[in-house]
Amino acid sequence: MENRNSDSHPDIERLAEYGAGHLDTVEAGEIKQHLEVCPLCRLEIKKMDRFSKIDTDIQLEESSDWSRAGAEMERFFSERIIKRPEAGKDNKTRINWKRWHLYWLMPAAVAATLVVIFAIKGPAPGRMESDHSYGPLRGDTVEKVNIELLVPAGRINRVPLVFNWKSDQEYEFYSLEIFKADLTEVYSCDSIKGTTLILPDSSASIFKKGETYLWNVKAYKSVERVSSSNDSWFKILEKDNSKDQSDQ
Amino acid sequence: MRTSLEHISDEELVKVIARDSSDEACTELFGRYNKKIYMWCFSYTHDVDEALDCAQEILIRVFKNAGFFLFRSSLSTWIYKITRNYCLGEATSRKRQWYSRMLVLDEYFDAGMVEDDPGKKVEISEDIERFIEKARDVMTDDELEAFILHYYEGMRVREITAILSCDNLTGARTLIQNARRKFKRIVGER
Repeated sequence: MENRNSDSHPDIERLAEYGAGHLDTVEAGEIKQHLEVCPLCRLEIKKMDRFSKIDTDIQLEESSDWSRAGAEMERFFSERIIKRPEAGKDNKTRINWKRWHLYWLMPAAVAATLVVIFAIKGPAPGRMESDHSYGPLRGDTVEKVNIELLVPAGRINRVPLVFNWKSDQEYEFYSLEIFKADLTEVYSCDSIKGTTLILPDSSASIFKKGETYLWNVKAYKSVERVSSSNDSWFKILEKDNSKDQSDQ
Repeated sequence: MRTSLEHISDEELVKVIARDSSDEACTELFGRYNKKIYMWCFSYTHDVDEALDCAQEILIRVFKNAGFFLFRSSLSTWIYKITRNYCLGEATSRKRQWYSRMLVLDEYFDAGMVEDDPGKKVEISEDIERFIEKARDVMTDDELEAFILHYYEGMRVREITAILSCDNLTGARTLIQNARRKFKRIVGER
């Protein structure tokens, strides 16, 4: 439910700066004028304000059962984000010297396999372009990652209207999400049957040339999400190189 | 969860995470935002387990993407944006029970929510703008905001009271009732 048309509303970042009084007089004047006629942006500022204080709402803390939920969140953080060793466990590795060779042989075999795969396939389009700063990719997705995103991927010449993926089995339906590198959602679609989504031509305007987009797919059985893909990326080149080549 | 980094700013904290992603820095970030994220999710889902699912998914996104943080805004705004987008997206995709409240909007938006039409969201986004354009003439600013929060985003009266800084629940309830009455008048005029 992305109810903000990015062409006619200021960015959330700019609204936040306005709310914090960080904009110069001209910019602040523009935003003020816009806010007078735009309830969506007025609400956005009010919601940001609420977000900054929501954790001090004692009534909501009780009604949302924070005492239980907070413990669950900490457990999730420890187990899934930073993967701490379980408390009280002696985590020192005790080496069985009779089988000592396994301790270096197995990692070496894995490393060698990876080198071979990399040499054959080359670098696959990962989460982001190589010239982007990588973030700490901590934490795994909640479900099994059994979906492989096929197209679009990497640098492309035209706005993509066909999205295609492959999954280990047939699922009831899929959902697809496309977002910018700053995680602003630009498009999402639920209840997709099959492993291809064709966007209507009218959707082409949601993409901008030169911008990098991330996308992912999730699979569902009934209401339960059962599988997902890693994020893939694509960037629509400013200039259509395929056209240049055909012209030559 | 206290750490030795509790005195550094949010922005410095993200730099530390981007540099070495130490457990301590991640723990500090988690400590600062996990309650906000969870409680925001709860205000959309009204269910502890669903709010936990959403909050955990958002946490994964935050930690996976901390390196993409471009310092174009404060960290708080960035996390708000991720949380907001996720909650609004989930609200649409899961079609929660309270979502049936939105049926009242279907009277205005001819086509309603057709799940298998990928272009639908774009249309709805345009429709809400059209609706606002028309409603602005008959609703007060507060009524229109309360209406959007309640019917379009599915928030409960208590949360609307907090967001709109109403004096009490009755204040927010009155805004919603007035807005609904006026909305029916708009629909009737079509």
